[in-house]
Amino acid sequence: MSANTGVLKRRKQRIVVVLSILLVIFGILIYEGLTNSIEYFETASQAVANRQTLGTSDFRIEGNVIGNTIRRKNDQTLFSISSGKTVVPVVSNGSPPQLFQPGIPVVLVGHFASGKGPGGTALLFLSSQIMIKHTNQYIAAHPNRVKIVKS
Amino acid sequence: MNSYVIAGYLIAIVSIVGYSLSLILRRNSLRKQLQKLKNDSEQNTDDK
Amino acid sequence: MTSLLETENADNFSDKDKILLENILKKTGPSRIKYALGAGSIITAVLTVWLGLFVTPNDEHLGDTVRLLYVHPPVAWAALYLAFGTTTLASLLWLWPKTRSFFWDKVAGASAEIGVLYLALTLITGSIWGRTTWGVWWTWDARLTLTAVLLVLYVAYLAIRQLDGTSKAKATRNAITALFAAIDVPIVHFSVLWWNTLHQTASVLTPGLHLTVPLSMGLTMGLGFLCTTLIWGWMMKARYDIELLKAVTGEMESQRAILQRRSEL
Repeated sequence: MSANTGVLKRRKQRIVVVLSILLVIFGILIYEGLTNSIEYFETASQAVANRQTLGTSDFRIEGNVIGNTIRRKNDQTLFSISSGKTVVPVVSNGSPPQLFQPGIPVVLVGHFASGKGPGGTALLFLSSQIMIKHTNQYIAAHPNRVKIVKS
Repeated sequence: MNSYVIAGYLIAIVSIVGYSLSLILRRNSLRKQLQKLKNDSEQNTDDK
Repeated sequence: MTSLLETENADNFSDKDKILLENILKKTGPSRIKYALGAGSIITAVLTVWLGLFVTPNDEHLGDTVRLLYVHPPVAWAALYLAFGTTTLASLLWLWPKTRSFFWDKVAGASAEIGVLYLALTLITGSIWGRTTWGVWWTWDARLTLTAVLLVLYVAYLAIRQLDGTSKAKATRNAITALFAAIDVPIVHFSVLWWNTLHQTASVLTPGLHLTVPLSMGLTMGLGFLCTTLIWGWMMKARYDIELLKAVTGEMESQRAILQRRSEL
């Protein structure tokens, strides 16, 4: 019987260890979730409206890439994003992801530039990372392909 | 075909098949154990 | 299982126990429903993979990474709503005195284990899809973070199920834990509507239930849903059988030990 209680005790210890590890992971997840802000991004128009409070601190900005604004300059990619009527010019370091293209919604990590232009503060977003925000809309690229297989 | 897609399909298929096989094996070994217990008890009754 | 304990005074298992044993061996043996679920799972899986990889069109933006649409949402759906939904319902049925039966506790545990497997697959396939679409494996958006939290909660539930106690106390403890874990399910579901997230909103379970995918993709996705559901059904039966067999063999062996000790005295 004593051997049996020993086994039970060891099993309980093992479960307690597993639960404590899970509790630590739980804490890390909640901490990361809250500090990364539960609102993942600000739309470009929200960001421009909050520009005073945002200052030059890092945040995520969302908007659609405007068609003919994409330009490459050395290692940098220059383009503008829009949301509603607001347009924000962007300078991004590094190469953008594969799906980056005119019209696609993106989320950019970075901050507003502090540089002052002749006409007051120039609006410019310095981005360190580009993420593509896919919507829930899917569009078949080659509808013919289905017909071929069916026939 | 995109290698990411292939990886996604493979991981899903392998883990589902793996878990299913583990279920089959566990069930079979438990059934064998129970069958043995049943046979043993019958043996004992026969002895008496 | 009470009949097994009634035999404590006998030298051996009673006839009643033998009938019970035979019943359990028969119940956990081959059956029509198991073959039907197994065959259905394999057929729908083969069809989903074939349609998903070779027949359905590419997406205009995503190219062929859109084919993860036939894996990721079906496993996510089966984990969150089917598996964890069943665990929640079964836990409530245990807690409600009128329907209290150990059957529900076993069902809750079996479904949660399958749910954890499916949810892990949801996170893995989602991560792969994120890498190809967004450009990152992981990011701390509300949907992703809360889904990871959900996995931790249900793994903790499975660990708590292993703690011992009397069978009744155990089942009640399990059920209450399950209800706590379930709180996160609707939060994960609505996270994409409540907050700004990188993760897109739903394509099927949209607020107005409008499908946002072309028909050929939608049908293949539907087949994927059917497939993960059938697989869940097959796994439920197998996992439940194991719980049943474990309970009986455990009780029989302890009973044998008692008999043996008595004969040694």
